[in-house]
Amino acid sequence: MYSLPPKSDLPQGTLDLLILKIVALGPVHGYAVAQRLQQVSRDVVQVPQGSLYPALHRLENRGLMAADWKETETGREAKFYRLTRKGRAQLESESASWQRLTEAVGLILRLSEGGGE
Amino acid sequence: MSWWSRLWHRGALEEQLEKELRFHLEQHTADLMARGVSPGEARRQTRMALGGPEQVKEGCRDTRGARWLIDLWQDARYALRMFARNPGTTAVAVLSLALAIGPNATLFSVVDRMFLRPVTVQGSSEIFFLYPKANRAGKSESPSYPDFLDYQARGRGVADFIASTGRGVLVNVNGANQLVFVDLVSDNYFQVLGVRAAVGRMLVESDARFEGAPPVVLSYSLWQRMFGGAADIVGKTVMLQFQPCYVLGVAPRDFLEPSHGLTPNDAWAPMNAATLLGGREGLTQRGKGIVDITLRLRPGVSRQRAEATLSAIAAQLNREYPATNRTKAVSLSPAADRGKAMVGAIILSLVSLVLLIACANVAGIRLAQGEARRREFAMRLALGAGRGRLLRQLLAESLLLALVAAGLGLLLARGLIQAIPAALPSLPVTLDLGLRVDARMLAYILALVMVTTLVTGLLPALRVSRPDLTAVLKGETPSARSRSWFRGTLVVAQIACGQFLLVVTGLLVGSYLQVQHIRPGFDMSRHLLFATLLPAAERPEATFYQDMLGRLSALPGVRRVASAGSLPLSGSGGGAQQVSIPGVTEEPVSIGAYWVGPEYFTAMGTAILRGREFTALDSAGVVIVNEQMARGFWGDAGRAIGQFIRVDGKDRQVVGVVETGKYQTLLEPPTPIFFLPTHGGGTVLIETAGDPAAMADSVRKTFRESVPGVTINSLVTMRQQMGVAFFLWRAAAGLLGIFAFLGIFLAGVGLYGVVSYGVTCRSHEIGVRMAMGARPADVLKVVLRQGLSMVLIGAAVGTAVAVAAARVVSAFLYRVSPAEPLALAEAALAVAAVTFLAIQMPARRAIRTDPMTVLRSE
Repeated sequence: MYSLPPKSDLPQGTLDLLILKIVALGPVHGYAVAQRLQQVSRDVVQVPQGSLYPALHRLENRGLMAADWKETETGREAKFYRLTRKGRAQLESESASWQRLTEAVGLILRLSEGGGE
Repeated sequence: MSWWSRLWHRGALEEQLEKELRFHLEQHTADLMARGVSPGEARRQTRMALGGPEQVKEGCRDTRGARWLIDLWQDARYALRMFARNPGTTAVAVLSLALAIGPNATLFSVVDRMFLRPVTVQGSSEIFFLYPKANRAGKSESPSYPDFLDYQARGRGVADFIASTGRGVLVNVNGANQLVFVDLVSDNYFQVLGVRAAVGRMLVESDARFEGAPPVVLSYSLWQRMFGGAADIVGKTVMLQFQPCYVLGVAPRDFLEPSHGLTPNDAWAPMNAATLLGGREGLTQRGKGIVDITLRLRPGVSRQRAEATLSAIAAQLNREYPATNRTKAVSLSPAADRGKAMVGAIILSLVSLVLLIACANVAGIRLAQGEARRREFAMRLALGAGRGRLLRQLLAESLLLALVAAGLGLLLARGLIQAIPAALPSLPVTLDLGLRVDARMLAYILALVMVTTLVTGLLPALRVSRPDLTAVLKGETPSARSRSWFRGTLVVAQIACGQFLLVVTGLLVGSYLQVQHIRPGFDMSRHLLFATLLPAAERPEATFYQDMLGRLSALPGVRRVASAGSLPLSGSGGGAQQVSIPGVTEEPVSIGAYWVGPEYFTAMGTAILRGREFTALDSAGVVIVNEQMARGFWGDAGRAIGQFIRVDGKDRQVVGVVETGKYQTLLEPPTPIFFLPTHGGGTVLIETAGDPAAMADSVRKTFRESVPGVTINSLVTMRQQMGVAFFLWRAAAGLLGIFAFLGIFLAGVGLYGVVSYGVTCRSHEIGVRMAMGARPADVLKVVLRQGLSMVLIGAAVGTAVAVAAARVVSAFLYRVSPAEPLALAEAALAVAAVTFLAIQMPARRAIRTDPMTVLRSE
């Protein structure tokens, strides 16, 4: 009805984690978040911009990020997001559980077919 | 940000969102152009990458917490636009609901005051009344003050006991006397009840040892009424029964004693002040059953245990004081009375039927609108709106309607509450029922709004929110049959509810008519004027009353003047006295007594069966008894004359026997009563030659000019006086009558809506029929068949339910059978009249259908 399902190839919930990580590096505006996600992941992660902004607003409304209007290097006013203390804690716990999950997935995928190790 | 501030700053948020996205687009475009893409191409790619800006915005808005509120606001605005487009139907809907909500809310405040509002004391579930239990002779004897002291001393282990006894006293404010009710209470009264004063303090135990002026606590109502709510009332002296009293404080506004009746108390004083406040009846006598005993169970004590203990104490008292307590027995009854709440609930559910009828009207209107809006709904569904969203829209519209109606209803209720005192019969005392628009009434209205919203919103919503999309969008309309079936059912239900109320009203009216035929022991059509007097001094001179009666009887147009202490069926008087027959029965029985003056019975039109009535020469040594008492004591009225009875230790000779009347209520069984002579009573009866009401002014003038030292407290005619006795019947029949006619009127509006709608839908069919040669009578038959079948089914159902449910209201009925022909006839007449009015207009329109116009419109 109102929200379209995010059409990124990212697993559910990962987008929030990635945004939190990017914002943790320093205050940044929405366009830069998109750019950096693309650059850092070497173009693997392409966030549809349609889902980026709802995600940013969601994180802001949940109190994980705060935003201020500041001037960019080019002298234009933009909305800069930064992590709150709650956001930082969320990032740490989410990263940790992501690590555990990927390790576990890796372990399972490394199983040799036709028998145990 | 809280959801509220988000809503508040919605404009600013939208602006920022817009700005943020614009920045993104411009930055992206600039980047692309820096890489050598042409400006036009860069803008195109940028927009492609972001997707539809509106969708993105919506996605962002969705994350805001205040979303639901904003939607609600949108729904409300949309609803307002819908209403503005159909002002006529909207007005009908709102007025229907307001007409139902206003009277319902008014009646709630009355029922709440009388039946529902809990007593405002702490832990009211532990509070019980010590009721006198009927003995073998079927009589229940009230406890005396010495009895109370014994219960208190011996029952200390199971409960705290408090006692109270009420009386009317004169309060003197600015030189004028007025009658108020004072409760004399035991010294622990307010501590046991746990009541805190609104101003100053309540009575405590040490107040019982007062010296000089007795301390009193005023009720909130008296404080406001007579002392203007003066803040410095504490420590002031007020004159009660010509005795200065010291004001300790004011009781809280909502204070309701456990034993409250319809007449709230105006003040409280310690029991010891009884003798000072005109207490002739001795608190020290064990034979005087004059106190109400209330008790609070101690923690952990069950009702059964307390009852056993109290019965044991009663048995001890029976043995110790056989002369007075031989036949006294007690039982417990909880102060938080469920039976009363039940009565209140029955009354409220009866009249809430009117609201249901109004709701059905609105639901019908909404349904018709819903049919017209099928395309709109189908369109919105096709565009992806969820059913829930449509449902919410419809509910929001209903809520808005209900709220507007509730606002109007509240205004109506306020007006009605102010009008109620004028509808009460005139009494010699000020009755402050404490009716007002308060939080409980507002809560009730809100509950009505919720019910209204659900009924008027959900019913149509469930029907119209599942249309067959393709059919509707292609412009097909569903069959008229399925469409009108639902509304038809609603109308049948409405008529049934209206008919039900009408039949019940008919039963009440029938009872009222029957009750009017009861002879109360005097002539109700007498030309009598009653003046209730308040003396300005404690003991008027001996010749005062004789002088006054003489002056009044000298007035032109006055036939006879008599006096009495108080009148039967006036709600006061008839207090019990201990009576025995000297030499025959030494064991006294308690019988009610009235003090009346010379010529009282002739003036009242009471039949004197044997002997004579009192004369100006009679002293205290004589008594007149009623037939019931004469039969009970001596077996026959004739044998009573010349006999002696002992009243309060004094022997009196019976000089007359009068017919048995009604003394406390019209429905009481024949009760023994006797009359004692007095030469000066507080009530003066003036028999006039013509219309008594016309004499009122000259009587007033005579009092003012030539009878100094009294205030007329009330001056009423016989008719008005009897209004007190008939009041409950009249009020019950009148109130329900108003609701019933309101109900059937609203049902008529519903019927009109459906029949009229039916005619509109079938105008084509009617036109064709007429073109084929149908006569107006045939057309009429079609229209009538539809309307009348609904009315007949509804009326049959309503009557059946009413006759079956008559038992529920049987407490209010007197000598009418549930299938009272009068009630059924009245109801049938009302329904027929409403049906005629509702159907005739659409029927006329149907007859006047011009076949040519209809056929041309094809």
